[in-house]
Amino acid sequence: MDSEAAVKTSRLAMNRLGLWLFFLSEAFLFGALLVVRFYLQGVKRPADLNQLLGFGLSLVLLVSSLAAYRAETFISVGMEKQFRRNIIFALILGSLFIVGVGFEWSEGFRLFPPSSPFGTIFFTLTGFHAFHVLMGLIGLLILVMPGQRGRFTPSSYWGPEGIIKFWHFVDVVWLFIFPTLYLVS
Amino acid sequence: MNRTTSTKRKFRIGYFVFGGLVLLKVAEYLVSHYVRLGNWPYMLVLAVAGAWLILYYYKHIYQLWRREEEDHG
Repeated sequence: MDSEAAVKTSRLAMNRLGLWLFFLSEAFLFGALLVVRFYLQGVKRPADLNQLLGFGLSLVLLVSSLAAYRAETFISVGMEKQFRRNIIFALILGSLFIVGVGFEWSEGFRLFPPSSPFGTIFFTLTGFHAFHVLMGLIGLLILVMPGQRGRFTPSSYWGPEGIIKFWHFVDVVWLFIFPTLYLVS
Repeated sequence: MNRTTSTKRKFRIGYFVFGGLVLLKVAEYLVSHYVRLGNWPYMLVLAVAGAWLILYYYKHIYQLWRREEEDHG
């Protein structure tokens, strides 16, 4: 390996390590919020919580994660058109998720207002998570902006890799939020 | 392994993992309906299993300690 390639590889390793440390700090934050749910409410939850909507939202995020994975695989072999198509699909699904959370909030305000113990944790957890989804959507949007065309190649695609890893992160967080809020009893 | 085979393999893994994740979600949903009391340990196990699938296969956590031949620089 020549010295330039060695420097690039080392930079990539450092980028990945930094991103994973960021994920770790975020995991502590979400972990603390999940613990608060059990501290405030134990395993109690409102009987009229819309579990089916929560389940549907989980499936939407899972499909968007698959689209993001496909996009990363495509860009790793230089298939930019397919990469962009999958990113756009993930963007649409992520937006659908936000709309679903908005709908759930409109129901939630009626069933368990934010001033109630369950409402407090429900709106904090889902709101904080939705904010992360929004950040992920902005990242994905940047990837498919016209100015980015031709920028990522099989030998250099750290930008997409980082944003897609973040997208998977919001999916992982939802894997814990969904059962914690909607299913435990 | 040539590039095309490796790419096909990656896609196959992606679909299998997706199938596994959907199964885990369905299992969670069913458990919440059939185990009405004290179901949190099941939920925890299922959520951790799903998270591991994503962390390993989608987020490639192993890249932190293992270099791949086809790594981009």
